[in-house]
Amino acid sequence: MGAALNTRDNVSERSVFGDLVIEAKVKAPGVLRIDWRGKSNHKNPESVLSSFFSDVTRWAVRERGRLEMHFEELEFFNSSTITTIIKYIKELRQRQIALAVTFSGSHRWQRIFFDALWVFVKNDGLFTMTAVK
Amino acid sequence: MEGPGSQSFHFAMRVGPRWSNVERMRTAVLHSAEAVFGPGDVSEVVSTVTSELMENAIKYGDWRPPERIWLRVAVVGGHRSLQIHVECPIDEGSPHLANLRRTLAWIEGFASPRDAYLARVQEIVERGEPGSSGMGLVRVAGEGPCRLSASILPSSRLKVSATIELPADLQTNSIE
Repeated sequence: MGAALNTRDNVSERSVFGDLVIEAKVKAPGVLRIDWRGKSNHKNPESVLSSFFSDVTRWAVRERGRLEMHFEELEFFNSSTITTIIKYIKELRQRQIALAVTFSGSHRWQRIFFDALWVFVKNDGLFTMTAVK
Repeated sequence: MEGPGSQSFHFAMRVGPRWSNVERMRTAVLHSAEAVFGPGDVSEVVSTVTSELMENAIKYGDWRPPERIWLRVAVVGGHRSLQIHVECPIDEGSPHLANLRRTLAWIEGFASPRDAYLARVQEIVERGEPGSSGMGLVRVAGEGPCRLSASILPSSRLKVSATIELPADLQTNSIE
């Protein structure tokens, strides 16, 4: 990924981190959709994802936008990815950037993980979660 | 307790401590479990537990040459449960061993492994990752759910084991 995300509407930007593929697309003005696919099994996912996350954060701040993260097509993530995702969600909340997460309710490992993230759900609407089949 | 004669699932091999082998073994265990139990929660859990224990073994094992060049991975099961065992060489004075024992005791202190999982997520939310978070072990325990144990074998090898109880509908599906 370059220094900044592509901001043209409906143009998908694909980032590959080993077995993990992340596609980011501005699906509407001020709304960035991020799809996680494949497997996040890097030894140190934070080191490879930090640059991508920084780009996303910069985009959200600049556009005053909100984020949609879709995990339903993700096949697997390791526990290091769990801590990386939690820390990034925390950072987004601290920066008052809205994030809507969609996950697969039919995968037990996704269900258990995202169920644990209800601690982030407050009345401010900054973090929401939806389970899909 | 099930004896060796009752094992319906037996998968065991020695592999080198390369990170890429984790995904290879996770996929191999996933596909093997799916062949026996079908796609679904049990197969996903068994493969995830295998990969998390392997990751820990590679990260924290004592891989100094020349002789300590392999870890052993085994998944064995009978009618009611599956056990995943991962062995690696260990420096018995390493902080990892102490941290492992501390984490297992910490998990045991909760009413259920799922409660421990929620508590660890909460900790990371509130305080960030406190050094080695032990998230892999906590995840293994919580997702199974499964019981975890660790023992030191001769020749300074660490064996970490996870036991998963099979759901009732799969207890009769395993191959005799």
